[in-house]
Amino acid sequence: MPFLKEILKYKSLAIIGTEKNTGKTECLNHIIQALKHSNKTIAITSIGLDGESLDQVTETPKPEIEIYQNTIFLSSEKHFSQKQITAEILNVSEKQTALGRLVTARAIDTGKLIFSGPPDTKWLKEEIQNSQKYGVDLFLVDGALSRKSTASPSVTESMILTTGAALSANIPNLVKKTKLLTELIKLPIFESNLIDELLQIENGVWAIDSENIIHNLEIQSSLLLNKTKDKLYSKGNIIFASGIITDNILDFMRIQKNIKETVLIVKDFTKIFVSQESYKSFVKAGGKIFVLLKPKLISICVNPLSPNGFVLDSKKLREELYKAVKLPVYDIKALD
Amino acid sequence: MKSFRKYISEISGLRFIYENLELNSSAGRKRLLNCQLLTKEFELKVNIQSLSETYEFVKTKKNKEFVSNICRTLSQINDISASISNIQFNRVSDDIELFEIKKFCINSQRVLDLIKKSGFSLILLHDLSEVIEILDPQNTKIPAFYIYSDYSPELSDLRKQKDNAKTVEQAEELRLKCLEIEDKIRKELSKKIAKYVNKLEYNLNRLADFDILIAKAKIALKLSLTEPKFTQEITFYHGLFNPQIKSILENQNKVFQAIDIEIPTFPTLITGANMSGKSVLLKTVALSQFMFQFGFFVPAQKAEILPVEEILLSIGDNQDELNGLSSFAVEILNINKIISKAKSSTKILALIDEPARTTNPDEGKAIANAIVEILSKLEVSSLICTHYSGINARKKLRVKGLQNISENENINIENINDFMDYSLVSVEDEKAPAEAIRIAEILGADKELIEKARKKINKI
Repeated sequence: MPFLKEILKYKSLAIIGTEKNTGKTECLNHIIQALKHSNKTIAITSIGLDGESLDQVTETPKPEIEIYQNTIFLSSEKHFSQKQITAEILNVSEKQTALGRLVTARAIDTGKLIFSGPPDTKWLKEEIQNSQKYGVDLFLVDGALSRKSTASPSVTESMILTTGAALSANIPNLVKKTKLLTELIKLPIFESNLIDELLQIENGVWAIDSENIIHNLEIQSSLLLNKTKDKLYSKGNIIFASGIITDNILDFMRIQKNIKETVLIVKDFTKIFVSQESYKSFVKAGGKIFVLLKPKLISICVNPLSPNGFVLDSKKLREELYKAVKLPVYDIKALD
Repeated sequence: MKSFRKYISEISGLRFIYENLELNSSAGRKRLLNCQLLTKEFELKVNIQSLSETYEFVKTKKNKEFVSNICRTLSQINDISASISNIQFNRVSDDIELFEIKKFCINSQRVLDLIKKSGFSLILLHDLSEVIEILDPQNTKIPAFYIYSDYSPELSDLRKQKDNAKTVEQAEELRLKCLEIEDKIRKELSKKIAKYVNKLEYNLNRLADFDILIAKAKIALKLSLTEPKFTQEITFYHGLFNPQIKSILENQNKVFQAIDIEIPTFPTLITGANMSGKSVLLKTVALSQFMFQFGFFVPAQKAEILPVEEILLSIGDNQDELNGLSSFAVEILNINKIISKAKSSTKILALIDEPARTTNPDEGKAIANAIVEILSKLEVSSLICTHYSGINARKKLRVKGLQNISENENINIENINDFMDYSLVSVEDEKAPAEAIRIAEILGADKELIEKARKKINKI
C-alpha cells in the first residue's frame, strides 16, 4: 500500500468521507488489512451518527469493518453486544453515550464489526490519549462530515479524505468541490494560548478582544446573524464561531468596512459549510479564516462508483484531482 | 425523608459545599447524594468520630502519598451496584458486568493493601482475592475480561478449529458452538460469584464511605471547618462563618466577619437594621446544622451543636410564587409546618426570617408575637429575625449595625459593609432599630423619597 509509510508517521488518523458512499469503509478496511502483518497495534472507533446501523440517507445497511486479532476497538454497549467476534474488555466508561456506555476491547479473533464511538470531541480526544496505555501505535477514526455530528475528527494528527461519484457525477464539479474542501482543511491554525478554552465552548458566537480576553457576544449561532448584526463587532474584529458557519456569515462580513481586519475562527474544517463563491469572495475581500484543530491531510481516496450505479473514469478522475489538489490520490479498488 | 441530593437545591450554601467536595468515585458520589439527615446521636457520633480520625490522617504530612494513591485507586471504583444486584437475583452476567466486577475486586484489593501498609484502621474491607481468581484464570491481575479459553479445553479447541476453518459456513457453525459454551461458562461464573454478593456489596459501600470521608476531610482543611461537639442543651457557635460568602469576599480582598451566637431551647429574637446580615446569619446557622447532621465538620472556630430531628426554615426565598401562592401564603404554610411539628414533639430547629412581614404591620406584629409565644411554650430551638418592635421574647439579640462613622464619611452601596458591625449584642429594650431610611439613603434612593419619608416619620 503506497501511503502506509506516511500514515505510520502519525499516532492517529481520521478517514473522512466527503459524502456517503465515497468509499470510506473500503479505505478503512484497506488500511487495517495492510497493517495486519505489521507489528503495530491499531485502535479504531467511529464518530458517525450514533446508532447508524442503517445508512441514514440510503437506508442500506452500514458496512461492517473487518478487524484482526489484537486490534483495540471502542464501541458503545449496544454495538458491542452485537459483535460477532471474541473480544477482551479493557475498559467500560462511566459516562453514557446515546447507545450505552463506551466499551474499549481487544479483539481475540478476526471478524466484522459495526461500531459507534464517543459522541463528542473532548471524549474522543481523551480516548485517543487513553489508548496509549494499551500500547496503541495508530488510532483510526471513522469520521463523518455531518452537520449532526458534534464530535470532530480533527483531533487526530492526520487525515485521509474520501471522495467520489457520490459527491458529484461530473468530474470537473467533483474536483471543484473536493478542492474547496482541501483548501478548508489547509486553513491555518489560530496560534493562541486560548485554543483549549475555545474548544470547550459549545454554543454561540464569541469575540477575542485586543487584550486576549474571550467575550460571549450573546449571539446564539452564526446562522442567526440577521437579528444580531450590531453585536458582532462590539468586542473587536476577531470572531469565534463555536458551531458551524455557512455562507451567510461570510457574505455579511465581506460587505462590512472592516473586512480587511476581520478574523473568523472556527473549530475545524468540518464546521465550515460554505459555497465556493462565498468563500472565494470572502478571501478576496481580505477576510481571514483560522481553525483551532488541523490534521495533516495525507492523501485523497476516490470511489468512482456512485450508489445509483453511475461509474466515472477512475484514471481521469485521479489525474484531474491530483492536478487540482497536488496531493497523492488513490483508488483503493484499482490498487490491487 | 429527603436525601442530600434534595437539600442541595433547597439549602442555601450547601451546593457550594457539594461543588467543593473532591469525590473520586461515582460510587462515593452516589452514596453521598442518597444519604439522609443523621438524627440519632449515636450515628452522628460515629460519623464525626470517623471523620475526625480521617481528618487527622489526611492532615498529616507523611500520609500525603498514601492519600493520593488511595484517591487514585478510588477513582477507579465505579458504581457497580447494578451488576451486583443482577447476580443477586441469579441472573447470568454478561461480559461487561463480569469485567466490572473483576475490575472492582482488583481495585478493592489495591485499597486493602494500601490501608494495611499505612496502618489506617478505620475502613475494614473483605478480602476479594477469591473473586479475582474466578475471573482471572490467567492470573494476570490486570483489569480486563473475556471468556478465556482457559475456562474450558473444549472451548479452546473449538476456537482453534474456528480460526482454521476452511469455509465461511464452517466458521459460522463453530462460532455458534463457541457461543453456546461461552454462555455455559458465564452461567457458572455468575453462580460462583453469587456467593460473594454480600461481600461485594459491603466493600462497595465501605469504599464509597471511604471516598466520602476523605472528601469531607479535605474540604474541612480547605475551608477551615471545625469538628463540632455534641450538646444536649444550648447550641453554641464561636466564629461562625458562611463559607461561600467568605470565599467571595476573600476574592475581593475583604474579610467575612465571623459571628458568635447561642441558640437555646427556646426562641431567640434577632433585630437589626436592613443590610445587617440577619438573613445571612439564619442561612448560615441552617447550613451549619445541615452540615453537622450530614456528618461534615462545620464552618466555625468552635461549635457545640444540639442534634435535631428536623431543620425547618421560613426564609422567604423559595420559588413557590410560581405555584400561584403569594409570599404570605408560602410563609404561613412554612410556619404552620414548624408549629405542627413542634406540637407533635418532633425535636426541631426553626429558623424564621421576618415572620408576617408582607401583611399590614398591626396584624403582622400580632402574628409574629403569637408565633414567638407558641414556640416559647413548646420550647423550640429557634431564631426569629424581625423589624417589629414590641415582640415579647425571653431572649433578644441585636445586630450592632452601622458603627464608628465620622461626620463626613461617604458611605455608599459599595463600601457600606466596611462600616457594618455584624456582631450580636444582648438587648433588653423592646424597640427594633429604626435605620431603614438611612440605609435607603446610603443605597442611593431618590432624594425626594428620603426627604418625604423623614418628614413623615418626624410627624409620628
